[in-house]
Amino acid sequence: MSKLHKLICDALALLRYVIGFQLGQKKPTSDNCVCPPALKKPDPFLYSQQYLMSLGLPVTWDNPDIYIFDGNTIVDPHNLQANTLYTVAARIWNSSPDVPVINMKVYFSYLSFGAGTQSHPIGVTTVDLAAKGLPGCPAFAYMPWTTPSALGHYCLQVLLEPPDDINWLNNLGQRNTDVTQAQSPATFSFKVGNHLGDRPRNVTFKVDCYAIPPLPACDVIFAAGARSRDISKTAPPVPSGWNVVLTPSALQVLFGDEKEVTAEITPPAGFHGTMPFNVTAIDDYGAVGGVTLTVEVA
Amino acid sequence: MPNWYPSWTQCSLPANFRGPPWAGVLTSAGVALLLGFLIGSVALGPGIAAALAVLCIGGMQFCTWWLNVRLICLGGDRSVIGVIYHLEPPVPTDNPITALNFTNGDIDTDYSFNLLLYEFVPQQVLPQSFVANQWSASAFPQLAVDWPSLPPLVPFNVPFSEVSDEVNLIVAQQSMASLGLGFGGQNVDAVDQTNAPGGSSQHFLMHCEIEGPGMHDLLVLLAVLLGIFLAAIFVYAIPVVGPILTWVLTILAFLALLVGAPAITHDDAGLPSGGDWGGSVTSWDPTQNPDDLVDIVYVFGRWVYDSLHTGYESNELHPVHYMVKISSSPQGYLSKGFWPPGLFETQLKYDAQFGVINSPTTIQIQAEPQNGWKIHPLLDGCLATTPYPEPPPPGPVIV
Repeated sequence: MSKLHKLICDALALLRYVIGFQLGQKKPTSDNCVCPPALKKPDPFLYSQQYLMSLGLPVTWDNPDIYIFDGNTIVDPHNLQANTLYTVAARIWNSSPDVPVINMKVYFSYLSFGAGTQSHPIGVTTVDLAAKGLPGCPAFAYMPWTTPSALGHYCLQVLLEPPDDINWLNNLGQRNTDVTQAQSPATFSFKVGNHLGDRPRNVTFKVDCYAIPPLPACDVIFAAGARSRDISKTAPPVPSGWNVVLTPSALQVLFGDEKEVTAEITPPAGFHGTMPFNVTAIDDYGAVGGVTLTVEVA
Repeated sequence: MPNWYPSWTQCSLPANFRGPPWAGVLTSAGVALLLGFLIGSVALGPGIAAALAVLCIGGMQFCTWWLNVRLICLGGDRSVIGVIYHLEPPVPTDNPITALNFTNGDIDTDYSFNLLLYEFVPQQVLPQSFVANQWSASAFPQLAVDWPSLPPLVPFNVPFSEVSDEVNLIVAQQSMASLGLGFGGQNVDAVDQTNAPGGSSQHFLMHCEIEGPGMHDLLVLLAVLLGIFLAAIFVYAIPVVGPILTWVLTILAFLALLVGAPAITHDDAGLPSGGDWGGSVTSWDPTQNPDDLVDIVYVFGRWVYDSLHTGYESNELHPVHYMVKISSSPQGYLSKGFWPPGLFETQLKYDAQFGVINSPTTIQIQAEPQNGWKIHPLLDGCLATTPYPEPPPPGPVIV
């Protein structure tokens, strides 16, 4: 009976295909393309601000997938010593449930603190990444890094280079953070650079107070009948009472040039705690980069 | 079930293998003629329908052999690594006569290619001394002994122990030595022919076939046509309209064959819906710049011998379950035998990873709530009993 049922199903599927074919629903031809249809792709990624912004999502430049170790202790990147050996670690995920990546190249580099500034390579390593949900996903890549002799803040970049990828746009993550005690006001400075093309960049800034919200418990998600939680596409604006002044508030950066921007952030009276401010530099073509500035008030 | 590329064939154990059912097909043709003549002498419509019904049975017999017996199992699923050397995509046709001509293979919509095995170059071949004795149990051990003296037929810098597993996949297997079948191996394109002294025409290529549904479609079509032809015979008994119905059904079935067969040749191995399928591969191309990168791929499929590749019989991966790109290298390097080192180790790691992925419990693990995220675990994931891991301390740093 099951064979007859299968034959009927197959016959109906074939009939549907033949009718569709005769109506012009032909499979697209792929001349000159070596496109074996059994080819599968992995999807390695890390928290990638550029990609998330392309989805219209708010981002933090305090990348949750890039860590710095001093020995075996995690340290904040804003508090690094000059000319000192640290280890940069990257947490790498795989969206593919079927395809691992073996010997994936992971490039580490650092930039002057800011947006669109010049990248300096730290090194490259390889990592084996398992498929989604399996031991070995996430994978962790480590790279020793001796900080430059000039004391200052630095942005860290991690770039994944797999042999193949479903989505090449989510392979670059940045961690650009700075923390300052508010001293009426808290003052930060960062650079905005142009090292990508020979056209000048007309840069403006967007400031918000987005931070990745805490994860809900899985049973709460499932009790609500959802497979995954919704992501808010709106970033919390600068709260009332806070005053953020960027100087300059807009600038033009020529190719190869870097310009300094100062941020003065004044908390409201009586505020205690920490508040993150994401400053994203935007030009005519989209986001140039950004920094997350955290104000602490004891 | 693992998320493998669809397939429609089975392989037969060497002990259960039998050759093409030509006798059955010829018998069907004879019976068709006889039935057609006998019944046709009484009533022409049912006679033609009966003849065509018997021909359908003969065709179904052949399709069933093609799908279930033709391939001989050699030992389960295997992986190989290398570069795509020669491509044989399916050839669709709009001509029903061409489509039904089995000798040109248009109805077989498999997407085939030859993979140049890791660490070899196209010009390298198995020695004639081995091929002449290939069905002997002593042939492969002797190849191991002879290997150091075989260059330039084989690589200078690659010991036999390093490549013995992949070479074993492409040579005649003892498990089917008693069947008396041929083994021509896979040859290279004319541009890579060298006719080196002492060499054979068996190159270090693994034939791979990604299955299209063509022959399965044809089997289904013939089964449907058989049903229609049988119905055409029986409806003849209906008073008044019966003979007309017989002719209508017979003509409709015949038209279905003329329309269906060309359509089937277009039903090739396409991208399955869902999953992470698709993309392109940069293959070996003698005309391209030596600096151009060629993709090195990992291919996993069922290891079989195809008994219908007359003259170039060989082992192959058929069906290919999946393949992935694992590296790339300039063709100029590969053509001199300079492959990236350590890829056998990479292959073993992929084997191990895919072993886990293909295990039945993996789907359950991946279906757990904390793995339901789509963009990033920290954005659309959730907190399970065990949170998403942070990097463990790196340990001592060696500079």
